[in-house]
Amino acid sequence: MKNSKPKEESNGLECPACRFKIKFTMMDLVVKKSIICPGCHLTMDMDVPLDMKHHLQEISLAEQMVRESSTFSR
Amino acid sequence: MRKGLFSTGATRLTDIFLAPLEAVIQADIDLSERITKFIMDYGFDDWDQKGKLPKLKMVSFSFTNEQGKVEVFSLPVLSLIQLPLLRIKDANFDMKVKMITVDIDEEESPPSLLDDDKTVKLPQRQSAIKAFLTPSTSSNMETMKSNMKVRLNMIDGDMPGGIIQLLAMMGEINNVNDKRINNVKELEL
Repeated sequence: MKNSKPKEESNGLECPACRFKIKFTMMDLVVKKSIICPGCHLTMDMDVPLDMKHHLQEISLAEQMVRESSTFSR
Repeated sequence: MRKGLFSTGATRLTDIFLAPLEAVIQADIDLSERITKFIMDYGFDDWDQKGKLPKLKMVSFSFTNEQGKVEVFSLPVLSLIQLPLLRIKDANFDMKVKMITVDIDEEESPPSLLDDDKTVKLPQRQSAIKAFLTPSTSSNMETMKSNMKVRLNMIDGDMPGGIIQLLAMMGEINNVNDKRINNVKELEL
């Protein structure tokens, strides 16, 4: 099966006002209730379903564990 | 009396090499399956129900436009962030193996009651190389107890081609929704 790296540009939200590509972090989706476009400072309210937040928290925790275990040495 | 392998606790050398390799391959397969399940749980509703098309999970956004009206649009959650995927890059096994030669006696067949074969078969004796893992010798008591060092290197995995296509499709949905924002879905405050 052909594998490759995903395009970075494909992720994120294009600002409806200025077309700036707004990048999200997992914590943005978990914690924030609104997002501000860095290009035009348009404020957008976000409604992230609760179960999705649980999944995002799981990923965050997994990433944290990977970071910790990557420096683990006996 | 037990003979051969049973008497020494040794096993075939290939089995010793095969066991950790099988474990790593199985771990990689399990990892892929769990990632797939996670993506489906995370990105879709009702994906495990037969006869139903899975629905994309969406995140809704709303903002007030220049005319003071609230515009609402939604995007698939899969298009918003890049999911981290891990895979096993390489696995190093450091094992100390002691090889021994084992004589394996063939079972003696009971003598035939028929007198058709007068030659008496002597029991055959075969030699085979067998091996067993030995503890590594060190002053450290912990390492003496172990007999294999395993180091797995994990890297950010490449995405399977299908998921890349799916994400590319998400990007297109993103654009379509952007175009719709200007025309429809206006809510009066």
